[in-house]
Parts: sequence; structure tokens; C-alpha cells
Amino acid sequence: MPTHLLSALKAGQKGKIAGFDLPMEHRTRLLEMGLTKGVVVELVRFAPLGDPIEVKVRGYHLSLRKREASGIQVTL
Amino acid sequence: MNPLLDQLLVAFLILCAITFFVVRMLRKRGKPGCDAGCGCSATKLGTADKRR
Amino acid sequence: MTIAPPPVAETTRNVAIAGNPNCGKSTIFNALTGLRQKVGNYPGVTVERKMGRFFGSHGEPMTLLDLPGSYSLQVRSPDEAVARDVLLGRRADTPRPDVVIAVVDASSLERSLYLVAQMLDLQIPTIVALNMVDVAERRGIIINLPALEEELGVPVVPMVATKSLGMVELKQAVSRQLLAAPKRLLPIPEPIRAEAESIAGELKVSPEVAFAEALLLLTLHDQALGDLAENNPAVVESVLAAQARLRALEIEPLSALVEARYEWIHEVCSRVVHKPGESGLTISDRMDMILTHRVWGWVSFLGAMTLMFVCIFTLAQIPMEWIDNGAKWLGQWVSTHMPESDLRSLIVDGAIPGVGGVVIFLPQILILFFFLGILEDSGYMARAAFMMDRVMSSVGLHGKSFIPLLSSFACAIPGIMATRTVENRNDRLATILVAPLMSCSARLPVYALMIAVLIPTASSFAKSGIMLSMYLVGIVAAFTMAWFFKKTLLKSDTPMLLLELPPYRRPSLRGIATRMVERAGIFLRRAGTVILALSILLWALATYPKPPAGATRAEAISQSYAGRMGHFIEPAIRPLGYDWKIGIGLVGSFAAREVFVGTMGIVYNIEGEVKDDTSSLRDTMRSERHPDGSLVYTPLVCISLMIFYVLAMQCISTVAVVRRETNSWRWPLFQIGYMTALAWLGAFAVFHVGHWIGFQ
Repeated sequence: MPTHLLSALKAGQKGKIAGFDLPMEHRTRLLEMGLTKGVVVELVRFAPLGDPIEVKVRGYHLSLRKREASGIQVTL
Repeated sequence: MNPLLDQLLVAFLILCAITFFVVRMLRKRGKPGCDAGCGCSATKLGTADKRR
Repeated sequence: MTIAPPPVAETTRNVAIAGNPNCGKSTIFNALTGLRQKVGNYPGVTVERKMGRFFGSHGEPMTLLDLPGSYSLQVRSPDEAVARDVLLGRRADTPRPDVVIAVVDASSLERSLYLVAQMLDLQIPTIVALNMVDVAERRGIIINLPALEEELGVPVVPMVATKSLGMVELKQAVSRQLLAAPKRLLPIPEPIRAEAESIAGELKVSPEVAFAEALLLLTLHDQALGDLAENNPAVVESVLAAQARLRALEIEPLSALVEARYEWIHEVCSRVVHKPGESGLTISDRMDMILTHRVWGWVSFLGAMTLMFVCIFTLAQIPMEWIDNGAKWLGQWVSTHMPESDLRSLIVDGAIPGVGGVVIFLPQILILFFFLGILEDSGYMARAAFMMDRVMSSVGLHGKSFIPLLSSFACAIPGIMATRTVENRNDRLATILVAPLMSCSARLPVYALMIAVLIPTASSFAKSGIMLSMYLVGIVAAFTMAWFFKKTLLKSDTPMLLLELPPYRRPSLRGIATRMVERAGIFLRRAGTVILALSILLWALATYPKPPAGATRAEAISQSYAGRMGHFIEPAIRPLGYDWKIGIGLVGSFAAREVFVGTMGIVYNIEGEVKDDTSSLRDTMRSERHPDGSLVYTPLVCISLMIFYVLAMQCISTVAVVRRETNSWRWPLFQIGYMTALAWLGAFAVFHVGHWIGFQ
């Protein structure tokens, strides 16, 4: 299945996490916050200045930078 | 008022003020916590930010 | 101060409370311990230790240790290292808890359970406090409690901490005679288990703790392991070898365990939680649509800030007048009931104007805290950080640095301490260095006074406008200096942002009111002690040595010690438009900013410049003239003085905290240096540019 970068999604789109392209330490932190493989992530909005983004995952809202989000691969 | 008493009381108060600061300095040396004594007018507001 | 843990009698149970940030842990801690709290430090480290006492269901004494809120037990900062050490019983100064209360947010159960899963590994009797069940209920989330208890293997107590619901049951659960260690219900991938067991064998700790510690070690990344290597080279070797072996099996230790835990959590939740499908937008979501909107978000942010400042100016007027009148009445009363003497002068010209001049600003400060409390409690602060992150990262800081900086509006000290959550050392330092530029509440009296001198009859809007501008100057200065520092001295990678946006909550007015009362108490205590002592000393410096007979009062003060100091620095400050009397004020302010107001009150009082008893300091200053007849407090001087106060480092307490938090004198001294230079240059620029464009 084609993967997209989380940061490339449009506001309101959802995806399932398929993989990571990030340094280990960053990846671990994202995992601990619940962004594991297979989980559904919704891109809620972009901040008024364009960065960071707000996502909804496992029932709560989290903000992360586009830089990290571009290291998360999702399938729609 | 008895002028001597007057001068004594004033000197006493000044001495108290100085001692207050000296003691405060010494106590601060060994006292790393920011409890009510540090005198700033805020406490809890900051601790709530001890979040990740 | 290093406080010894309370004497541990046989029967004193040690309880620890842990949980994610924003889950209501503090509410529960406060509800259980009330005022019986003590904040100190863990001996030897600059990590705060918050402990309290409470009584169990049968009156038995217990201690409650507040562990820092975190999403995981993974160690990334000194705070978390200490928390983990305490939980493993590795700190001699803090006993291993007998029971742990794990606070969980019912409305974000899955994520909240991650920390719980890690804690269950530790094999300490655990009680899960399922908080905010009201929020979950409102969203239609139904949690099967008995099933959850069974799946987790520990008691679960539903609670709504803000309404004190569930507190009794929580106490009962904690007070139970027999507390069992949690059963290991979480499946750990076999290879990891095997490696952990072998490492556990090497650890010189009790077996129940060893396995837990081994698991934690296996998931440590290289940098943290490097830190440990000093003390335990052999163990670190084994861990690295174990990690290598696992990787050879295509198991990444750092992530495999995390994923295993979440898989388990997900299954548990699917059996235990019933959500009525993806329901529509919550109220919180709707609010965010406006409050973080591209346009309306900024509008509301600025609107909120403006509202705050306008309220500070208007609502505070009447209480301020009361205090002002009260102080004047007191002065008059003492004057009429005491014969003229030095002692009377000390009281009437020193203590009363000194303390009174500061206390009068209590209403304004309380209003400020009220608003900040609402912003924080409601969850809005996180949105502010979210919106500001782009700006923060453009100067090289973290979005989360914004919150310590925002708190610095109240007082830089808790703001600086809040930087402990910033993991990167350079970012933390940069935040600490610029935090005092965010105008703290102690500057408020100075701004208010100068604004009153400047435009006494103008509308509140105009006054708030100027005050807001001063705050903006501070903000701009802070960001500029942060950018500068990050580009030069403190270069480092921009850190990662992972900021939770909790659902909006109705702020607990009771909580805010309690904190306001607390703060008022602290403020008054400070006024009654530090400021009083400073006022006495300043009075003495301004009164002695006594002038020769026949001298005018102005000459008297000029030749006093204080006057001499003022004259001494006058050459340095004349380019800024100040005279030596202001110099006295500046010298006094080095200890505490708000003393400026009291000091000027004292100086002008001693001078006898206060013509009649009803004239206020403001009016006195407005009519104050130089020997050559020109006005001292021209509009330009007022602004220049305010700018000076925006930028200068004038708080011994802050210096002390910075020294403590950075563990050296280098940074606080550097901070004093750069800020003084900045203040001088800023005031200079304002004063001269103002002159140049024709301003007076």
C-alpha cells in the first residue's frame, strides 16, 4: 500500500501508522506517546503559523512538529 | 521621648534589619528549595509547568 | 533545604503518587495532604521533592511523595532519573514506596495506561486512580471497572478529583492492611524476558526489584547508558551486549517493549472500554476551532491579554485607594501620637511609605494571577504554546519553553524552575537566561507608578496600552536574546516537540482562589519582612549621617550615605536622564524591583517634599524638579525608566535560583552583566532617540 508522510496529510485526514524514518530516540518518544505501528492517527489541524500540527491519536490530542511528522509513514 | 531611648530603639531596629538579611543569606546557601521564603509572589503557577 | 523524610515508624506507610501531566495528580495530592506539604530538594541534586502527610481511613499516618508527571518511566532528565531511583528504592534518603497511586485520565485511558504498565513491572503494590470519569461519561465512554481491575490485576478507584469524589474510596484502598504486589499480566516478548532475567542476576539489588530494573536498563538508549557506565561499567557492558543480541534477532529493545505494552493496553481497553463510535466534535474541539484558528486564534489570544491588563488597571483602583488611604491614615496617626524623633521618622518616613508603597499593588498582582490561573487551569496555556511554537523554534527554542516564559510574567523564579522539563541543556540555559526579561509581577508597581506619573488622567485603555507595550518590549527582548544566544553561545539542535493538548476544563475557581490567597500571603509576608527590613535600612542610609545644623532637608539627604551612593552612580545614569535620587531607587531595586516605589516614597518623604498628607507619591514625582528648575520626571524619563526596568536584572532571589539551577556562578553573573548592559543601552537609546525626535 502506498505510504504517505503524516505531515503531507490534509487537515481532517486519517491514516494508520506504517513505519518510521526517524532517529531512534525520537522514535521511542513517539512510541511512548502511543504512536505505534498500526494505530490510527488523525491530522486535526495545522497551527496558525503552519507548524506544529495537531493530531488525534488513541483518544487524545497531541502536537508535534512537521519535521517529526514527516518521519512518520501512514497508509490512508 | 527620651533621646537616648529613641536612638537605642532606632539602632536596634536597624540592627534587626541587617541581621535579617545576613541570616537570610546564610540560610539560602544551604537551602536549595524555593519555598515560601524566597519571597517571590508566585509558586504553584510554575510547578504546574513541570510537564513534558 | 534538604528535608529528612519523616521519621519512619513501623506503621507509617510511604505512598507515592504518579501519573501523566494534566491528569489531576496535583489535585489529588493537594486534596489528600492539604497544607501538610513540604517542598524541598532531594539531597545532592537540583530536583524538587514534594512530600506531604495524610491520614489513612483509620487515622494511621502516611506520607505522600509526589513524583513528577511524566508519560513514561524512561529517563531523559534528572527529574525522571530521581523518580526512577525512588521507585527502585535506590535512594537512601527516600524510602521505596509501599504503595503507588497511579493516576489515570479516564478520557485518554489508552495513553494513560502506558505509565501504569511500566509501573506494574516494578512490582510495587499499585492502586489505579481512574480520574476524570465525569469527562469520560460526558463523552459517552463507558468503562467496565471490575473488568479493568481484573485485566490490570490491581484495584481501580473511579474519581472526580476536582469534586472530591472518590477520595474516601482512594484512602480506603491505600489503607488496606494487605497490599499485594501486582501480578505480572503483561506479556513480555520471550527473548527480552530472557535477557532481562540474566541481567537481573547481575544486579546487586533485591530480586523483586532486579527484574524491573533490568527491563528499564534494556530500554535505555546509548547516551543514558553512557552516563551510567561510570559507576557500573560491568552492568552497562552486559546491557549493551544484550541489546546487540536482541537486535541480531531483529528485535529492537528500545521499541519492542513499548510496542508490546501498547498492544496489551489496546487489548485490555477493547475488552473493557465501550465507546459509542467516533462521536462528533466535543465542546473542546469546537472551542479549539476558534481558539487555534489562523485568524481568530490570534485575535482571542491578544484579546485575552488585553482584557487581563485592562482589568488589572480598572478593577484594582478601588482597593488600591483603600490601601493608600489606610497607609496615610496610619502615618498621620503615628505622627500625632509620637513626639518628633528619629524613631518616629523611621516609622513615618521609612517603614510606612516603604511597605505601603509595595503593598498597594497587591490588588493588581492578584488580578494578574487570577487570569494566569484561569488560562492555565482551563488548558489554554497548551494552546498558547502550540500557537507560539513556530516562533519559539525560529529562535531555536522549544514550544514548551513558552510556558515557563509565560509563567515568568508572574515571577521568573517558578518560570526558571519550570525549565527543568526542557531536556536539552542549551535550550534550558537559553530559556533561563531570558526568562527574567518577561516582565514579572514585581515590575508591575514600577510600571504602574511611572504610567501614573506619565499620564495620570488618561483613560484605563491608554494606561493598559502602555503597560502592554512594556510587556511586549520584554517579550521581544527575550526572544531576540534567545535567538542570539542560540546562535552563538548555546548552539544546539532544536528539540522535539511533543505537547499534549488536554481537553478544555472548567477552571476550578476554588483552586485558583486558594492559590491567590496563598500568593497574597507570600506577598504580604515578603512585604512585612524583606521589604520592611530594606525600608528600614534605606531610611537609615538616607538619614545618616546627620547633616550639620542649618542644612535644608534636600541637602541633608544629599549628603547621607544613600545620597552619596546615588551621587556616585549619577554619572553613569545621567545619560539616561536620571538624577541621583532615582539612583538611590535603582540601587535599592537591585535587591527587589518593587522596592523602587517604596524607596522613592521614602526619599521624597524624608525630604519633606510630600507637602500635604493627601498628596500621593505620583503627584510628588510629577512636580519634582532638578536644582535648575526643570522637571525630573518628564515623559521621556518615565519611559526610559520603565524600559530600564523591563530589561534590568534586579532580583537577588532570581540570581540565587539561577545559581542553583545551573550549579555555578558563571551563568547568573553573566545574566546580571548582559541584562544590566541591555537595560542601560535600552534606556539610553530611548532617552536620546526621544530627545532627537523632539520628544521631551
